Amino acid sequence: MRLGLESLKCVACGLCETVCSMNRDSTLTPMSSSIILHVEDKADYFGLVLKTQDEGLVVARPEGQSGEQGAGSSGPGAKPILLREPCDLCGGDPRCARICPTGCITVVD
Amino acid sequence: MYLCNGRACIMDLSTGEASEQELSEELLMKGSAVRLADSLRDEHGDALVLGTGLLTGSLVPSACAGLISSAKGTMPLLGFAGVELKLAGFDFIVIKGESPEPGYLWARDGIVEFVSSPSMASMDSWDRTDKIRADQGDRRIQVVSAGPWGDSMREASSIAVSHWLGEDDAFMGAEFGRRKLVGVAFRGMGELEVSDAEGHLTASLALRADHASRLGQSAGLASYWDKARDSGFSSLLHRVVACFGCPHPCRSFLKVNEDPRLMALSAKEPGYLHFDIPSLDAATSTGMGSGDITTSFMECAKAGADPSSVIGAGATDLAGVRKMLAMGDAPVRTRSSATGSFRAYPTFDDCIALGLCPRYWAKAGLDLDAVSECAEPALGRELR
Repeated sequence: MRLGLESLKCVACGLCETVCSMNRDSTLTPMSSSIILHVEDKADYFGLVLKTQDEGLVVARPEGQSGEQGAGSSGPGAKPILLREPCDLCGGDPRCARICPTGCITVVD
Repeated sequence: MYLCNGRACIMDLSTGEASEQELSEELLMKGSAVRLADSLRDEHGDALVLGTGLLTGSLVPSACAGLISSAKGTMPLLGFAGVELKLAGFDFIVIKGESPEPGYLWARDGIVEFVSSPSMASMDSWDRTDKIRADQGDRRIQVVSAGPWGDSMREASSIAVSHWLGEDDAFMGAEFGRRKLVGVAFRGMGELEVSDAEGHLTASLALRADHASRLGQSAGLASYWDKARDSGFSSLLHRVVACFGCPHPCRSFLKVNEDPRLMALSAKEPGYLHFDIPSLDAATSTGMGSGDITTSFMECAKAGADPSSVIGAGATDLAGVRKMLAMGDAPVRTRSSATGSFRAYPTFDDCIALGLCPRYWAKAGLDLDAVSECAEPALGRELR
């Protein structure tokens, strides 16, 4: 099982990165999430970066997805995703996929 | 204390000193951010207050809203501004006095400081936003900025929230200008505790599913403003964009400086994020096309000038808008009662009080009992 990301369905609502923290704590925060929104708002450019256990970073850019080893942060001021825990799929029922309102994030068997 | 920080920052611009004021759970749980902001303004005298609602940043659908309150009224803070403000560590920031020199407030990690920046006085609101993000090293910093019109205390000056205009129905720009405040920046690196995380998630998803069954899929601004379905508008549409936590977004980005179908990062300023319905109504009534409207709104946003006032003063085309911006003034065109203004939604008071988007909840049908069912697992108590 893994997460499928269709970045063109993303509307940048930020819910995925907010609920991710609930897997480890009763808190809402994007700072400990394994998935982050990359946003360049003035250019209307946005996509998702997911830290996985098996594939490294999966970068879902609007122009196409790639797996890569990159900085993958929201900027140097935020906690870089490489320093975060990889996604453990919430033990089998990923909250990011549950809460994504557009079907951008899905569970793929 | 769940879903809130329990404190306000009091910043005195005349001295540059910041202090903290504790906000009791009882006070915050009373549930009206608007009333609490008014109370803080009264307490601290002629203050400008930025704040958040009890539910801002929660999983209740569209819980994105914060507010700015001044003697001129209250405007919502949408996009990611409300949630980033709360996650920066404060429920409210009270700004009093006037600075001796231009600068901005920078809030993060429970710290607020005044950053003196005289060079920003000559910048437009977009350059200010870009410079603050570059200087502080984070692209997701939210910047509430007055432009040159606000600095000059023009009546029709409007606050841009991370580049875009549309929330300021109260014309707050002059309030920033007279304090020599070129902007307020915040980045949320904190967290909000919730009492029953799974219960909050489950209840919020159930309510959202009920809304979705009635609203269907969002078409962006076209779901809220019929003229966005016109071919001139839709041919320039790049993507639909949501505020934090919104399942039925109202924001449509039009590209005018590159092909709207281009998805890769290319032009730095390709277009504009449209959600300012009163200004769009004013602009379309002149016969302007979507391309010129988009360019006009970009230039108004940089200047910090309300587009509906600029166009209402007689500009009927892009050249007219540019002429009006160069002249540097236009009489205020009342926005607060205009169709599609945030202030005009009957949901405004209840929603801003709690931290919810008035436009989404006007569309979905505000049901405070249903909101309570979502909120109470997070709060661990009744929502009053």
